[in-house]
Amino acid sequence: MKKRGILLSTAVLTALTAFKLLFPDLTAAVQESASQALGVEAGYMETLNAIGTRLSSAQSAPASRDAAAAPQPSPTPVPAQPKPLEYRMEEGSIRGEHATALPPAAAPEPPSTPEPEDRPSPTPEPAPHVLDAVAAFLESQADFLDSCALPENVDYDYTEFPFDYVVPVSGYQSSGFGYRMHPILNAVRFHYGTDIAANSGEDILAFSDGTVIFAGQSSGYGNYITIDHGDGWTSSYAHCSKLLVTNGQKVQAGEQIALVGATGQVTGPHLHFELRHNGIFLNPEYYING
Amino acid sequence: MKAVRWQVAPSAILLFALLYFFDRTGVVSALLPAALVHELGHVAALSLCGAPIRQVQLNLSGVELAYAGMLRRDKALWCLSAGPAAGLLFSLAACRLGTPFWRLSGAVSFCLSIFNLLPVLPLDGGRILCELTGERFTAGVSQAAAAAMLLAGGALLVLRRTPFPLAMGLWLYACQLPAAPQRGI
Repeated sequence: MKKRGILLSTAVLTALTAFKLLFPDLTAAVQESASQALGVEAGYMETLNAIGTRLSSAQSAPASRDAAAAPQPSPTPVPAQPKPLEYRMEEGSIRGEHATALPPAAAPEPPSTPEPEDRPSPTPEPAPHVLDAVAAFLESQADFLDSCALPENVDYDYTEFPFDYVVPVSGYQSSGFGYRMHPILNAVRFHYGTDIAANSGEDILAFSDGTVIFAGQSSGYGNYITIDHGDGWTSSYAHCSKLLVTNGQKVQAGEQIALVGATGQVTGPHLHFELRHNGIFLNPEYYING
Repeated sequence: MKAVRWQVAPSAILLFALLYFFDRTGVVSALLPAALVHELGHVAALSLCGAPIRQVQLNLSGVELAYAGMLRRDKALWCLSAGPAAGLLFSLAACRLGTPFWRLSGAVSFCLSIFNLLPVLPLDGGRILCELTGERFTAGVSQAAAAAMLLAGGALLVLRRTPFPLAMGLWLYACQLPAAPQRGI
């Protein structure tokens, strides 16, 4: 009797495994239906990814910089990445607000030829437009910071992105990074990314080369993707109508990874784009508004 | 050398089949190496302590290892800790490999190790507590902790729509219920 039970359950396991491997799209549809029917989601993945990032970054060597760069400050503990609901993007991102046209998604810049070095060169200063952007942003946040503390996992400074990158979608910025008065709630809320309004179905491109470490959904982000670019850098793309990549897939800068949508908690189709370095949220506008 | 007896419950195979099929994130696959390392940690420690494995039982409670002989308290504590310790070492090594799968497996192993150290029977932490304080005290702590996890899991299901903590709470609470009397001897 027990042998029969083992045989039967093993047959079920074999059948389900074979089905999953041979018909991945159908399996994904079944999984999606089950998830929606139960009204549940895999909220634990963000926590697991955060743990994996912390454990791997705790052992890796510091990011390489030119040897003559100013002495690096002693490493400070990186706060754990918050759960999705803690940094859910601001609701009511209304198209047309703060309409700032972004440059169209461009092809990645060709890598620059490294200069021959007889001695290490100093760390390059950010470009003037970046310094202006930082100054303008800090000025816009000054009033809020009088009464609101900067969240622990946020940095308003500019950190140079060490790889080639592209603007992830063609559109205009509808809601920026940082504190703002929520247009619906009429309360100050922190926005951990930048909202780029675009037509539903527009291509979303990978910000830079990397590996997809999450492609799934959550109640706040809707369909979203997180890409690991290396050296502690990750980017996230939320509210997509359709994801075109899977977990573990390697992507290149400018490669199509998803389509613009309005999934999750939004009021209109847009891309919510986040940029993190070692778990710290940075202002994406410093990079995509150049 | 006596052969190890294996007992696998059909319900455990069925549960794994369903979890694997409906898993969209790959976490069930990532759990396999983590669980294997955890159990191998126990097996290695038991072998070093002169208590070879006689039976491996796989059921809805997890993996249960039956070993020959009796262990002194210090050796028992060492063997019980070996599983989570191996899991923590594995989590560091796996995350260092860098690939998404191994990083996920490392993270799962980390969570599995920490979870197993909870002072709740039949987890390793519960058994360690039992070795140190006795069965009666451990049973009380186990039931209280399992009830707390059940409540927390229910709250998380309502607030975050994630069922996993409630499932773990239900499993832990079910493990505290008195076992059905055995037939025969």
